[in-house]
Amino acid sequence: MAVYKRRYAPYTGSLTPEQSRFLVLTRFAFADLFKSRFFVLLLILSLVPSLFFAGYIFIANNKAVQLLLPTGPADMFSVEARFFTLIMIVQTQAAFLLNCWVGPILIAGDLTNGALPLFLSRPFSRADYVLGKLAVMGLLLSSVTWVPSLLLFTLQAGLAKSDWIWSHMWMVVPIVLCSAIWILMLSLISLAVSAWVKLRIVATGVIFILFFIPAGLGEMFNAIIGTIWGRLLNFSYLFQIILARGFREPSRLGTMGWNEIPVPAAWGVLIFVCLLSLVILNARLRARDTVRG
Amino acid sequence: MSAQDLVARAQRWSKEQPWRLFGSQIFILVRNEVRRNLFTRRRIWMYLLALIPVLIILAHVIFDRNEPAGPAQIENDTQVLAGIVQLYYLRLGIFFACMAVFTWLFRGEIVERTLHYQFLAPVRREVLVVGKFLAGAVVATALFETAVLACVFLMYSRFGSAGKSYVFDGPGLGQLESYLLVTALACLGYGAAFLALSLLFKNPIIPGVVIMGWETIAPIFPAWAQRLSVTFYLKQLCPVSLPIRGPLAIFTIVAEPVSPFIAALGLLCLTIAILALSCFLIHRMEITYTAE
Repeated sequence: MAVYKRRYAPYTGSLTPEQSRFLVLTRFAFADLFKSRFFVLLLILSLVPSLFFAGYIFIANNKAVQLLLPTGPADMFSVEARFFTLIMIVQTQAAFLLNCWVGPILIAGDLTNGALPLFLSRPFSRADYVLGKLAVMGLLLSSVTWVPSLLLFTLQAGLAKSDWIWSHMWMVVPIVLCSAIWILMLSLISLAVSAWVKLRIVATGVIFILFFIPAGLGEMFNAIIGTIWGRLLNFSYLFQIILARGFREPSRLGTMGWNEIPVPAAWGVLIFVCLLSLVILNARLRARDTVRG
Repeated sequence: MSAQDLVARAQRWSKEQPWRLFGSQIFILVRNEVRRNLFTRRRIWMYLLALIPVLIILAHVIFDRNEPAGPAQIENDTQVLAGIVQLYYLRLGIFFACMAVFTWLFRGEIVERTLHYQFLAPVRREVLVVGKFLAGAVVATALFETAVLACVFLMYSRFGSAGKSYVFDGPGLGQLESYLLVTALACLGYGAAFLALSLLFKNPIIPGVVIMGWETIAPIFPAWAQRLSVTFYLKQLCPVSLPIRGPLAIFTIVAEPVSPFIAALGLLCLTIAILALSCFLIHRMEITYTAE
């Protein structure tokens, strides 16, 4: 058959259901991520603290092992709200590092190489695109935050006395909720920054800086003006006071006698950051691009 | 081979080098890089990084202008200024600005796919490293010295004659000199470290985390290991000690004091050693734009 006789023929195969279409992006993004050895190493390292916490839980529930250890305070091996707060803080910091590495890869590459119009020319909306990328971050960061925390909770429930699980069941809610807000904020910030900056190297640096510089500026603002509201720029601190409230624990600064930001204000700032990131994503993710001469 | 032979060979090698040519090449490189890096849209955030403390102090000057200007208030503001320089500028502002500026010197050329032009020019790679480093140092130092100067000026200007007297007749001028020296040395030290690491790693997050982690935990290491960190030398030169307790004290505590001259010289030696390492690393560098 002559080449000019070949005509356009629409695709006749089966279509991916509309609701789960965004997962195609997620699947391919994961396949790309796991090609990087450094990423795999980072993911494994992020889970190492959980192994130590599991060891601690085992010792806390094993009198024979405790007898072999040098004697300490009576509540040295207590697995209560404070312990799970510590797990959450450690794991969310690991999630932050993972986010710094993975976040910029997701969108910056598509924008730099002009791939976004190709995605959006298919039956695939911008919301699907963002959802697909968010799902990558969500699944990845979940695997180092609330999933290991719940596994540790289950381990403790299995090793402790039978009524422990029922008296501590409320802890499942802060574990999941606090992880969710942290994951959502990290994911949206990293997607927004990579959409804004476009260059992967710069985006990685900016995401990293965003969690340190505003915190430093806030503390400086507090010192000069004599207030506490500068801490609203310290996202890690805001997360920690939300976490402390969730686990019904006094926060670190509270125990030092310092004034604290109210928890609703902390929630407000984190939600505001998420909304701001969505606005940036909405502005930057277009099927066209303006190239400055 | 005896030591005398080695010295003689070094002298002969030194005489054979076209130092004048190297000097003019470095000058041209610095001029071009400064022109490219200092006044660009991409550097706006760096100006913000340096100047936000100035804006906050300006707001303080405007809103608290009716506060009494006694010695206690001057003392308090001196402590605040020390906190700004030692905790914000040295630990965050200069650190991250140097990370951006010095990492971008070579990585930026790779991202923009222009590094091969520099490598194809008849310029030795060591000269390229030194020229780019000096350009980055000029940009970072000029920006942060200006910011520190503005901070000091604004902080004491609101006290009127009492502030003027504190600066010119009291310890203020000495503190300002120390802050300017510390700022310049911080730019050089961090700059050299980031330049070297940018030749080793593609992604800035790795040098950033590595150096930040090292600079934070260095005070708990033995004295010889502490000398490999930039902040070890900078802390010695800071004129005002901060009354910080708790975990943050790790940023200000000086375990083994050395004289300011030794500290400045030590940091310069560390910078030169890291630059020499960069000169070695640049020789191994191969351009693969597709991998970026």
